Amino acid sequence: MEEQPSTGNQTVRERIKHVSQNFFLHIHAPRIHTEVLTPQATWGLGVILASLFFTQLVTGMLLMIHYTPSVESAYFSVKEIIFYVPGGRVLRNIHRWSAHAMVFVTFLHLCRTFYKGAYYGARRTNWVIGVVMLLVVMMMSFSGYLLPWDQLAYWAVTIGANIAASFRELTDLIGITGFFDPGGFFKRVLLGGQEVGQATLTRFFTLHVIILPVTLMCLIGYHFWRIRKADGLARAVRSEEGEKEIPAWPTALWAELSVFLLVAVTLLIVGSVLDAPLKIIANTNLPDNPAKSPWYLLGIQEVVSYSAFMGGFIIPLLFLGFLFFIPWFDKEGESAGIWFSGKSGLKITWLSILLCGAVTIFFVTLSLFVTIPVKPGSDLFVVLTMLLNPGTLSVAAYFIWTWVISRYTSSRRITVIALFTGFMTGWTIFMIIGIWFRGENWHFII
Amino acid sequence: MNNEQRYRHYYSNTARALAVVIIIVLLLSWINEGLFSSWKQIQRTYRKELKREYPDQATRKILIPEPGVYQIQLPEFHRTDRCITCHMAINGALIDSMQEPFLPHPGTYLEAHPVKRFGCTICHGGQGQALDKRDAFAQNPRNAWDQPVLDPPFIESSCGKCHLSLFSADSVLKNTRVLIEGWSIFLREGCLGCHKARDVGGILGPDLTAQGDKSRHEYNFRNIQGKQTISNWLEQHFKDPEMVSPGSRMLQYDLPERELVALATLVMSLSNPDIPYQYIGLNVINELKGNRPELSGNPLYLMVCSACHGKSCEGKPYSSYKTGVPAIGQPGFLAIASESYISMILHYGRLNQQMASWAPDFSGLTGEELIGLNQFVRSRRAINSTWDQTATLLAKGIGSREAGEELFIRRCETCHGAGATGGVAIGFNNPDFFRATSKEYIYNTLFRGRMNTAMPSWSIFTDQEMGDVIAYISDMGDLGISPQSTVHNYLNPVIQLSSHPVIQLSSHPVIQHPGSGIRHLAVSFSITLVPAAMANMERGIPGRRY
Repeated sequence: MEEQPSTGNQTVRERIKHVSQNFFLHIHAPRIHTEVLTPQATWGLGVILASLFFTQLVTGMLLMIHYTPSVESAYFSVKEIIFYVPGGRVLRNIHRWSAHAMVFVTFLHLCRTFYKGAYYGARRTNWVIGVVMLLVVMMMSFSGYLLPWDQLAYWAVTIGANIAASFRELTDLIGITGFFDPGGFFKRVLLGGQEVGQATLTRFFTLHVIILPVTLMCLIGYHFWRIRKADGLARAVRSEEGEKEIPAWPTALWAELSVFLLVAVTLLIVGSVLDAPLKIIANTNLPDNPAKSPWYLLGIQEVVSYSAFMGGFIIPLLFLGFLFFIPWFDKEGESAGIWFSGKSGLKITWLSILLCGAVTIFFVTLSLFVTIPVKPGSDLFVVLTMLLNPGTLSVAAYFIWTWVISRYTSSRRITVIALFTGFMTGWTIFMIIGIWFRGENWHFII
Repeated sequence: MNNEQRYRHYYSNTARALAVVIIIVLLLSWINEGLFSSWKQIQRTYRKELKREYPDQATRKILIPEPGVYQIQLPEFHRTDRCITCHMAINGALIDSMQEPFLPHPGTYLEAHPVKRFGCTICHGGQGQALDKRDAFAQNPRNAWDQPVLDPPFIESSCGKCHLSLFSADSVLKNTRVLIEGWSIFLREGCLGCHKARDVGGILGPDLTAQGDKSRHEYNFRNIQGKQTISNWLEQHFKDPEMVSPGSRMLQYDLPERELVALATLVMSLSNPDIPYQYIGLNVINELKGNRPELSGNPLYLMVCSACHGKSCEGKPYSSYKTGVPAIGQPGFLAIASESYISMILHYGRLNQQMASWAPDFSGLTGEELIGLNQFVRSRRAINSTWDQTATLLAKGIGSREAGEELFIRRCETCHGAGATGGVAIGFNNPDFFRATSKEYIYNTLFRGRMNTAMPSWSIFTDQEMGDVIAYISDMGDLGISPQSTVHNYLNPVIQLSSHPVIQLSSHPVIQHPGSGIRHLAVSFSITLVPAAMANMERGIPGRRY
C-alpha cells in the first residue's frame, strides 16, 4: 500500500491512522472498497437511517423541552410548539416526517440487505440485529404516535392495543379467557390499564424518550461494529481486492456527509412545506370511523379484520420467525453481494411479486363476494374464518409457491427469495388496502 | 489513485452544495418567521399608525406597546388567549379612525366581563393559542379545533351558556334578541315534549342539556349542503330532520328562516359549562341543579305537549304524524275525560304509542305541575249549555229556525244530508222519528254525541245555538218539548229507553239510502272499520278496500 500515491497533503498511512486512532471514526474500517461507494451498492439506506435517527434525536430533544406528558396538557403543549415556539412547527414536522421515513427506509434497508445477500457468515448476527432494530424502530414510531394526544393518536393506539390483544380470539374460542388471557395481558402491559389513559401516556413517553432510543443507540453501535467485523459492506467481487481498496478517510466520510446533508435538506424542505397531521384533542366519546392504526401497522390491521388471532399473532409471528430463520436456512455464501443472486433470482423475484400479488388480490376480492355458509357467530364459523380468510389463504399460497420453487431448484437462496418476496408483496398489498381501500366500519371502498 | 479522487470530488462537491442549500433554507425560514409572521406585520401597522398620531416622544413611550406576543393566561378556563397580540385596542381606541383588528370592543360587555379576567375565546370561540388568523379563527372545517369563532348572531349563544334560564324570564339577556326569540320558539314549539333539557322533558329524543357543548366534530355533516358549521347543521336539521340524520324520528318544523336562526342559536347556548361556578349565572346553576320555579299549566302545555298534540290541542292527522295524535282539545273527548283518566295517562303513558310516561321520575315535572297540566287540559272542556237553560229558551220561543238552519248546514249537513234526509249518517227527517222523540232527546244527543258512531258531542254549542238547532229540527216534524202522546202507550218501553238513547240506537240498524235504494250497513259499523283500514294503508297493503 505504501507505494500508492498520496492524495492531498496526507499520506495513506496518515489517513489510515486518522481513522484507526480516532475513537469515533474507529467504527469505520480504515480501508474501504470503492465498489460500496457507488450509490447503487446500498442506495445509502443505512446512512440515511443513521441520519434520520440523528435528526430524530436532535429534534426530539428540542421538542421534549416544550412537551408535557400529561393527558390534560399534552395536546396544548403540542399546539404551543406549533404556534409559539420559534421554529417549533417545522421542528415538529421534521420529527414526524422523519419518523415515518425511518420506518419506511428500515423496510427498504431490510429488502436491500436481503436481495443483496448480506446475511451470510459473519453478517448473520447483523441480520438478526437488523430485524430486532426493525421492531424497535416500529415501536419507537408507534410510541411517539400517542404523545400529541389528539384523535389520531388516541384511536390509533387503541387499535394498536387491540391488535396486541388478538390472542383473545383463540382463548375465547376455547373458552379459557377467564383464567388464561395472554392477549389481555399484552394489552394491559402496553396500556397500563384497560384503556388508553394517563398511565398509557406516561408509559409511551418513557418508552419513546428513554428506553427505545437508548436501546436503538446500543443496537446501532453494535450494528456498525458488526459491519466492520464482517469486513465492510457486502460486495460481490473479491478477486481484485486490494486494487480497489482505498483509505476510508476522507472519501467515505464525504460520502456519508453528503447523504446526511441530503436527508437534512429534504427534511427541512418537506418540514417547512407539509404540516404534520394534528387532529382535534382526543375525545373518548367520539371514535374515529374508521379508526386506523399508523400506516406500517395497517397491513396487520387489515389481516386482523379477517381474523384477530391469525392476523394479529400467527401471521406476523410466522413472518418474523422466517426473517430470523433466513441466515440459518440459506448458507450459500457465494451469492453474497450480488443483487438477487443474478438473473435467475431476479426472475423469481418478479414471478413471486406477480403471482403472490395476484393471489392476494384474488383472495381479498373473493372475500368481498363470498361468505362462509355457516351461521355467523357459531364456534364453527369462528374456526372457519380463522382458517379460511384472505390472510391465511394468501400466506398458505406463498408457502405453496415456495415449495413449488424449491422442487425445481436446488438453490436454497432462490427458495428463500420466493418466500421473502411473497411475504413482502402480501404485506404491501394488505397495507395498501388498509390505507386506501377501507372506509367507515372497515367496509371496502374505492 | 484516480478512482479515489473521482469519488472524493464527487462526494465532497455534493456535500458542499448541499451545505449551501441547507444554509439558504435555514436562513429563508428564519427570515420568514422572524419578519413576516402575520402578527408581527399587524403590530408594525399599529405602531406606525400610533406614531403618525402622536409625534411627541414622551407620549409615544407611554402609549405605543412594545412588540411581542401579548397573552392572557386563564388557568380557570384551561386556556391561554393571545388574541390581544393583534387586537391591541380592544379596551379602548387611541385613534378613532381605525379598522379591524384595531377596533375597541363594541357595547358595554367588557364592563361586566373584563378581558383580564375572562379572555376572549370563552365567549367568541376560536383558538386562543394561535398567532395567525386562520388558526385563531379556526373556521375552516379542516382546522383541528373544536370551537371556531362564532359569527353574529350565533355569538349570542355564548351569552346563553352562562346566563340563559330556560324556565323563567330573565332581564340579563334582554339585549340578545335572537337568543331570546329562539328561547320563546323553543318553548312554543314544544321541543321539551321529546327532548330533555335541564332535567325536564320527554325521553324520545336526545338530551339537549349540554347540546351546545358538542363540538362540530360530533355532528355528521355528510348530508349538509353549504357551510359546515353547527348553526347551519341545526338549521337544516330543523327544516328536514330525516334528510340530515337518516332514521331520525324528529318532527318536521315549518319555521321561517329567521326563526330557524334563532332556534339554532338557542340550541347552541344549551350548556353545562366546564368553568368555575363564580362565572356562571345563578339562575343557570339553579336550573342545572334542578331548582326552578314551578310551571303553570298553560305554558307547560306548550313546552311539553304542543309539539304532538298541537298548540291548541287540535292533535295531528295521520298525514303529518305516523300514528296520528289524539286531539285532546276535542269537545267529545273532553266531555267524557275525567281528571283521573287524564292523570292516569299522564302518569303511565300509552303502551305501544309515542306517548311516554310523564311521571315525575321520568319527565322531571313535579306532581303539582302534572296536576296543573291536567287542569289546563280539562279547563278547555266546552260546556256552554245546559238542558234547563236551553229548555227555558225554547219555552220562550227564542230559538231561531233560520239561525238553526244555518248551523245545521254548516255542522250537520255533511253527514246527515240536506234537510236531514240522510247521507253518510242517518237521515232522521221522517215521521217515525219525530213521533217517538223529544227536544230533550235531541238536546242530549247533541250534547253527548253518540258513542261508537261518528256523531260527536256538540257541547261547544251555546244555549242559544242549541236552541236554534233544536228549533230547526223540531220544525221539520213539529216536536213538543216532551214526546207526543198518540203512540205513547204501546211505545212505552221505547220511551223509557230513550233516557239511554245510546243503547237503543247503537245496535246495528239498517237504513235506507235515499238516492240509490241500496241497503247500507249502519254508520256505526263502517266507522269501526276505519282505523283498521287506515292501519293497512299505513303498512301499504294494496288492493284492499272497505
